Amino acid sequence: MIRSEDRPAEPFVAWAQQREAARLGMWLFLAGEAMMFGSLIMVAWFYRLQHPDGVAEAVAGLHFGLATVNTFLLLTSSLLMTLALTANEPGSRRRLRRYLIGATLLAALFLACKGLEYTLEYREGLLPGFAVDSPLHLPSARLFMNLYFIATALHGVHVLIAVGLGLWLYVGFARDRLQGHQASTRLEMVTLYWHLVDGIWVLLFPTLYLVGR
Amino acid sequence: MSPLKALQVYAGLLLLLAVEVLVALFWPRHDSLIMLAAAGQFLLLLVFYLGLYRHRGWVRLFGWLYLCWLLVMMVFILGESATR
Repeated sequence: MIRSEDRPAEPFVAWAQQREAARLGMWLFLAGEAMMFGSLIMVAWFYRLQHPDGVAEAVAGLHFGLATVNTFLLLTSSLLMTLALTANEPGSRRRLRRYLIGATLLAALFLACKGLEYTLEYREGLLPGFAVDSPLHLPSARLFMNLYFIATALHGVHVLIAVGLGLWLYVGFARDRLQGHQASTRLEMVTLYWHLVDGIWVLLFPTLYLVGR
Repeated sequence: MSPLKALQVYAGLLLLLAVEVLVALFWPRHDSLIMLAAAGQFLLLLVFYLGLYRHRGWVRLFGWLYLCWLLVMMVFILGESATR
C-alpha cells in the first residue's frame, strides 16, 4: 500500500476520489449509529406511553440541570469543531489547534458532568443493580432507569471516542504530522462523527430528562 | 460554512435549548413543543453542521435516511398515543 503525503492511498488515483470514499464510509457508519440510537429513543417513548406513572416517577429523580449544562457543552463543542474545519488553512494552524483542543476539553467536561450525575444517582440508590432499597417504587420506573443508563452510558462511550479522536488530531497538527489533503479528510471525518454524537444527545436529552417532568 | 454562519446556527441551537428547558419548567404539559424544538435542533445540526445542504449523492441520500427515521419515530409515537 502506498502511504505518502502527496499521493492518495491505493487503490485511489485522486484525492477527490479518496475523500468521496471516506465520506461514503463515514455516512454509512453514521447511519448505523443513528439507527441504533433511534431504536433506543423509540423504546424510551414506548415505555413513556405504556407506563406514564412509572416513567414520571423516574424522570422526577433525574438531575436535569446537569443534563442542560451538558447539552450546552456539547453544542458549544460542535461549534468549535465547525470553526476548526473553517480554520483548516496553511496560515491558521494555531487557530485550528485552539478550536480542536477547546472542543475536546468541552467534551471531556461533558464526561466529567456525566460522571458527577452518575455518582449522585448512585448515592440516591437509582443506579440499577447497585441499590438494595431503591427509592423508585414502581417496577416500570426501575425499567426506565435501566434504559436511561444504557442509553446515556452508550452515548458517553461515543463522547469518549470523540475526545480520543480530538486529541489524536490535535497531536497530529501540533507535530505537523497531518498535512494537506490527508489532514482535511481526517478533520472532516472526525467533525462528522462529532456532530452526530451531538445530534444524538439533542434527541436523548428531551426524551429522557424533559418530557413529562 | 463561514464562521459567521456557524455562529448563527449555534445561536439557533441555544435558542431552541432555552425553549425546551423553559417549556419543561413552566408548561410541563406541552411535551410536543419540547420535542418539536429538539427536532429543530437535530435538523439544524444535520443541514448546517453535518453539511447536508452542500452535498450531493450519497451524503444527501443518508441525510434523507436520517430524516425518514426521525419521521418513522414521530409517526410511531403519535400513532401510539392516538390509538390508545
